[in-house]
Amino acid sequence: MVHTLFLYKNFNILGNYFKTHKNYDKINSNYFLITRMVFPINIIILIIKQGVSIMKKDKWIQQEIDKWKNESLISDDVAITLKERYTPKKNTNYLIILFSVIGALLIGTGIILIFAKNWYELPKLMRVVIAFLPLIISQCLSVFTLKCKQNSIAWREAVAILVTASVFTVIALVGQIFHLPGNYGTYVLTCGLLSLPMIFILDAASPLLVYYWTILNWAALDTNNPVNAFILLGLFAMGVLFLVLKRKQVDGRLVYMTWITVIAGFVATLIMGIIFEYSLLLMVLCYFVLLLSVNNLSEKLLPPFKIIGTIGTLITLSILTYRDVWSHALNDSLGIGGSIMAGCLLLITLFFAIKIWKTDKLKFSFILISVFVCILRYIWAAAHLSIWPYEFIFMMISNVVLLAVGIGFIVHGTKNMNLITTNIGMATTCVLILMRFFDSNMDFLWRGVVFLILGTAFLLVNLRFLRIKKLYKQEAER
Amino acid sequence: MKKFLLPILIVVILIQLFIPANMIYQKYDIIKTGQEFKFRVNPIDPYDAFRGRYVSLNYGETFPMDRNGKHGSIVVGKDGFAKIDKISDEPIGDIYVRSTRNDYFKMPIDRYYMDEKMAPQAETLIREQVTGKDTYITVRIKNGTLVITGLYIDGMPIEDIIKSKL
Repeated sequence: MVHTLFLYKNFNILGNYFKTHKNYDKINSNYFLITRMVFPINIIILIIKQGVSIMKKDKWIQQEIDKWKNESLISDDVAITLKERYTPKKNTNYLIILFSVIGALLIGTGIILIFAKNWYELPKLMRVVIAFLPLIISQCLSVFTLKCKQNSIAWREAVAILVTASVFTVIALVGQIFHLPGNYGTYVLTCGLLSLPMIFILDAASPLLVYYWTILNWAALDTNNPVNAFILLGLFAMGVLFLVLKRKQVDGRLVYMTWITVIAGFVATLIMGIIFEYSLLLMVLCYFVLLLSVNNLSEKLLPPFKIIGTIGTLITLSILTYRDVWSHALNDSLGIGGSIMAGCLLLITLFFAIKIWKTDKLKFSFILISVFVCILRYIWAAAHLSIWPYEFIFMMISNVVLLAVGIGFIVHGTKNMNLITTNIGMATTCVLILMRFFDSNMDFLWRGVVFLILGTAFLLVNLRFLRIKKLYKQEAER
Repeated sequence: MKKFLLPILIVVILIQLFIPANMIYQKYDIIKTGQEFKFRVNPIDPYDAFRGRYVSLNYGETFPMDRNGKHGSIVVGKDGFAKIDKISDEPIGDIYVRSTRNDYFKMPIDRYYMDEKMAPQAETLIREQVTGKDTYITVRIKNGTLVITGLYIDGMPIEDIIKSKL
């Protein structure tokens, strides 16, 4: 709290400084430009100072307690209690971790940009030495970190990202100096694979995002080879493996890694769908439903699965209510790969879903009905049913399913007095109604009336909910 | 597990150093033992965020009409310039170029890296002097792998021409 106030006070000083110099700034635009450039630097310096001062104060109080104990001002028990209370929380200062990662990333990017200049004047040997220098330095730092700073997350994260950037630099520069052949996809994949071990060895989260970016880039650039889909799956599994290994140490870093893994998984599913030339809607729906079914995790790790799973499933189900997505024909030569992948995703989903049958009926029903739509789409793709009357029947079923999902959410939310669930249900139902109204050639007046009715219904339900909740609260207080 | 981390890290470090070092070694091996050819090119000047400024090489009429296949056999014309004669899935003869794509023949390298100031000047120079002058690259080829050794206008390295004009 004190630190926050200190930071706030410093921001205010900076703010007032700008206010007092406002007129002068207007007159002297160059000065204004300089102050604007200096402002973010000031903030960064301030925050770094803040982090350092927190560390210094932690050390200072520990030393003071020792002094008090030696001077017999406090007893041994009190000293232990005080020391425990003021022991710095090891490695949990996310501000320092964040800034060390940003710092290392900026240094790495700076190195890449400076060396990308291509110093023609320098002899080749000198350029090779310069190319290898950042890698060798960062590798030495990684050994030092492993030996001496293994308990510092900030060190581990910063050095891991520095090694990653150095790997990118050295491969790029060697290619540049010697005009070597090689495409972009292979280049990023090579760099990603060379950096991957650092994630495991240094137990660092920051290079994971870079790793996912490299494998997805590589796969997206060559979608003609079906084998690439399986390689991508294997490469993605290596990233997930790190998460699985760390699943018991739930902290901010693991939550961040879970988010990026879930998002990267979605992109990987899309790319695999493109490689297999399969129904993308089926692939992503299977993926979202799989996310929904994941349950056996810590509460802190569940939001990415819940949020992306629910929103993704509802959006995909909404798209499937359009007739066009059922009436366009898929490529006849679509491979078995897509069917196998979609089938596997569904089987894993059902395996997880069975486990939550007793604990969460709403979620189980939602998963089951979504799996039903997946199977429908599966049959449609396998049997090439993009013809009348099947396409119409499938479209109608999808509409009924989405309506049932919406109503199901409303009913469940109302019963359990859950405002979020009720609103999700109402939003789903309203979107469905609006989509169908926009499909028809309805007059603007009637469209307006529909909007008014839906908007009013939304407000009334929320108002009613809040009133009931208030009454419950009052009764409970009595 | 922790006691194995350092040996594993050292192995990873060696691999990280080996990959770029091997790239350099292979390049020198091709330059030393590969066969030299000249290909006519029309360069233009783009930019790569990672690798800096380069001159993009357009090989023009170097290829036959049908470009389906991975390997291109080389034939040297009376003018001394090389062309891709035939393209097939399997290599024909000893001297051939391997494409970066499996289904369609594409020269494995289409960039010539230059100083960030020199690259745009090189493009302007080539555009202005293109009529009546030969713009070409020299390459060394071994086992289907190609390495560029220089970019020339009428027998003079592009870097020397730009330097003389500055």
